[in-house]
Amino acid sequence: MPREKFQTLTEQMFYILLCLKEECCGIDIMSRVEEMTKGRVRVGPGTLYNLLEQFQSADFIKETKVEGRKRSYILLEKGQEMLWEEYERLKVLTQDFERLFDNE
Amino acid sequence: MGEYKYQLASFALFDYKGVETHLEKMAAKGWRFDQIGSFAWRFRKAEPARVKYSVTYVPEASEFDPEPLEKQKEMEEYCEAAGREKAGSWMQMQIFCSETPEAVPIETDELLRLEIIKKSMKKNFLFSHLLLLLVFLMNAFTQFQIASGNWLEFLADSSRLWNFAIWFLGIFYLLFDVAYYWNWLKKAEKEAKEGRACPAPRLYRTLSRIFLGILAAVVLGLFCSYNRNMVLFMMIYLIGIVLIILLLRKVQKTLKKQGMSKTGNWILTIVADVVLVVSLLGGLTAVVLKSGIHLDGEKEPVSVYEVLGREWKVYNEEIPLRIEDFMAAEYEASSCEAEETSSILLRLGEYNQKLFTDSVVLGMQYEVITVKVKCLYDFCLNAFFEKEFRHSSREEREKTEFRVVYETEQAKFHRVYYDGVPMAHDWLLLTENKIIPMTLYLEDLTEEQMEKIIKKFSD
Repeated sequence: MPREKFQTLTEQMFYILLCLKEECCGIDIMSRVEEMTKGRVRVGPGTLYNLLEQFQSADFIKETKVEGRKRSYILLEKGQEMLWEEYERLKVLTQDFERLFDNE
Repeated sequence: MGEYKYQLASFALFDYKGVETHLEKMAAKGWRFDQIGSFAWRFRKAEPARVKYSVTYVPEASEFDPEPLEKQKEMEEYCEAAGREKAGSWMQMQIFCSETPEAVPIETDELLRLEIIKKSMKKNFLFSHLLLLLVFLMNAFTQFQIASGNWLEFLADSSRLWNFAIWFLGIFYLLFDVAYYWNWLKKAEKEAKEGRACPAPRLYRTLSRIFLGILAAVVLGLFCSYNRNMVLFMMIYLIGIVLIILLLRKVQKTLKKQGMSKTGNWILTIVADVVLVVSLLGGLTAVVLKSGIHLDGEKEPVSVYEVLGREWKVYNEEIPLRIEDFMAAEYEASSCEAEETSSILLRLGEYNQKLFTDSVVLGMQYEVITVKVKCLYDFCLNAFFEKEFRHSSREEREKTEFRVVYETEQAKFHRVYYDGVPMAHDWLLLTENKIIPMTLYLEDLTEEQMEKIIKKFSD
């Protein structure tokens, strides 16, 4: 079940979805993620390809155009919700951390 | 040294790490991975180099696809963009290479990698293994059924024992393969959940090679158990099978080139397979039948003897007990026939001797079942009685007795009685390791004669 599968996002999933806030060609995502994270997160081509396929079937993203074998995608509402959920989850983690360490 | 080097493919489909490491080692030694053939992986001679190989999987891919799937092509473009070139594919496995050591790995999510490996294995490995296992089990069961009809013949026939060992090994190997994958999968799932790479199935190649070695030894054993004609027949058959595999690969490739659909290619290749195997078997059988070659070995009489207008073939073969060994007999000609089969467990000999005079034919026939493994004696004795009474009714069984009529330290001579009356011709001699049923068309044996016979078989 896609929903169950993406209950939490891995860093790679998070950044791929983040890249697709604006329409982007699949191949370019690899370099964008690397730029965005200053090389901290790298997405392998096999992983990227399979994740894009899974995101598409879970309606997180949709294909916008096909030029030759180059496919472009954009984030859908469901994908955006997923990103927000993850963002909120990370925020709670950060707040808990800050609360604990600020009190010290 | 030649331009190409071939290596037997003994990798498991899920062993991506093993494939990557092996190809990298070969490239460092100056052998670049070139292509995968029907039996072996081909390597091309090149300058030794540090080449990084990466393996990924496309579960939907098939050897029967007319051309790489759109998905494969897209994946190739993604990999190219990441600095990796396609080097080849093997079923669902896709092999890429790069001479840039810092190129990003193809798979950066271990759980996802495992997921696609599982999908690929389910499609190819598990299906084919279960199908083969079913065929092997059915064959082993049929052989067991036939063997249980006459255990003595089975245990004394080396070729059938070796044959059974081959099927048994096949079943064992398939079960081992599935169990090994299952065990690897459980470990890999645990590692991947922790974000660590799937473990390499280290022992797989070694165990596969050991298995192949044992299989080769058993096949050799089977060949050694055959006579010359049968060895020739099997050699031609095996060469035929290898040629068929090569030819089928060619058919599959040609159909692929001509753009035949995956299903069409699959059906036509299977049809070609069946036609070729049937033609090979049919052709060989026809040649054997037409040429009059006996696969069991030929047996020619030395002469023909005529008694009261009937012709008897005369053979002159070595037999362990002749009538002259225990009684004085006058005759004009004698014919001795022997048929023996032997294995490491049992020796089964069927013998007969005929004595011809102008007007009468006397003779005896007997079997000598020599049990070479002591613990099998009781089993063989039971199997002998089972065989003897195969066609008898319960009543007949109950009325038949084997009475000891003479015994020494080494043996017991029995006479067969039916309904309390001695049978005219039937005797049974049991020694420490031999079961000897005898049918004698002679006068009743005296104790002295029985002792002579026992002595003959105790030598």
